[in-house]
Amino acid sequence: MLLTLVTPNKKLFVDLEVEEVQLPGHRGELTILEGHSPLITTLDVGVLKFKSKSEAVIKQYAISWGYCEVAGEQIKVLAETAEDFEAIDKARAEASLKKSEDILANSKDLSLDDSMKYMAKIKKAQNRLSH
Amino acid sequence: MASLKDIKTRIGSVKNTQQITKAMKMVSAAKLNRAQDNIVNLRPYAKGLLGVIADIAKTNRIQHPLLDQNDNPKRVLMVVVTSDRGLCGGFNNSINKYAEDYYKDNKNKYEALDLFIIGRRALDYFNRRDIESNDSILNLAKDISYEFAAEIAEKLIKGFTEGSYDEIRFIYNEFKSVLSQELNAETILPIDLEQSMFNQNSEEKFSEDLIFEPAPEQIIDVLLQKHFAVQVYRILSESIAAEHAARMTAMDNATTNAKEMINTLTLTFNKLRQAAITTELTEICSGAEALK
Repeated sequence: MLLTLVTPNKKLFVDLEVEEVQLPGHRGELTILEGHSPLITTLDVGVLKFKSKSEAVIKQYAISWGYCEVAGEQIKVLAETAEDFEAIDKARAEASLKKSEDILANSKDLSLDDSMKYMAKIKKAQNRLSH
Repeated sequence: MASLKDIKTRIGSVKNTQQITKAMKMVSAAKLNRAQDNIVNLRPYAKGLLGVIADIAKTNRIQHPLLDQNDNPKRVLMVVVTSDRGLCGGFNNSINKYAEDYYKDNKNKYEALDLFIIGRRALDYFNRRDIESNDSILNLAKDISYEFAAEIAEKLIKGFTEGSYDEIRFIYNEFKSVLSQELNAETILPIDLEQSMFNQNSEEKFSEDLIFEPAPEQIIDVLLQKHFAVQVYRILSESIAAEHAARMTAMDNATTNAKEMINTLTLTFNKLRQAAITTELTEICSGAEALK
């Protein structure tokens, strides 16, 4: 299977040979192995894991919204952000988490849209800190 | 006539200016590089997104409010993209002029024609002319991120889905090359899929038993919103790249002009100095003659 991972800022991999891929699908965690039937799904905030053929280690990336298209050998993942867990700036994630939590807790007349936005931010920050 | 000292100070000040313009040119060149990288890096993402939208739309014949073409728009939002800073040649002026003319010509044609302004240059321009803008965004310049563009896109799409507007149009400078920027007026909402996917024929790639999670109607809704965000990001990146390119050219011209000016001034300076020496020599000679 060949994995392609693309974000608006960077092309992370193109046609990387992998053995299995785990994704945060729309209906929950999803593992894709050889011979998976064709699928299009949106991805939630979560962790993308994959085992490449050349290296034995499992790589993990924190991703936020995206979608995944499986067609034959090809797995195409487009994500808004994708960060290697080893390279995540923990301090920044923590600061953002704290800020959003403060805003949610302290301001009373937040519109529904705004509170949704901050909840999404909290979710993202927690995801980035989950390792 | 200017004295020797005056000319010397003048040369000094022109030299200083030249150094500044030179430095600004180099800074712009570096920033331009980064802005260009942004555009290039975005392409695979934008292409992938558009590809999957096209696939879904084709196989499922989907109707979506964001895709409904409107031949007779009544409420139009015009997004004017300029920079925050000047010193970049005609970059902002051409945009402002075009936007103003368009606004004046078409104001009565539509029920509403609103302005959404990006960049301080356009804001000041329209404020001076007492043209109200609906909303404005400043401080775009530094490093525009996709998240930032997505927020703007969300705002715009909200106005569209709530019915405040039925057409959103961008006026911006497109980055053609370092030497040329092209003013571009583009309607990006409603989304015209026909136009953006003229050479994609991927129909046979899709098998019947394709699984969608969630249902295609919901997927396309999210994808179209993201597509719009990508378009906004692309336009802003283009504008920023064009701005830096324009500034680079302008500063290059300024540096050349300063060099020419220094040359002329140095020539005058030398002439004057020579004249002064000659006069002095004649005076000494004639003085020595007189003593004999």
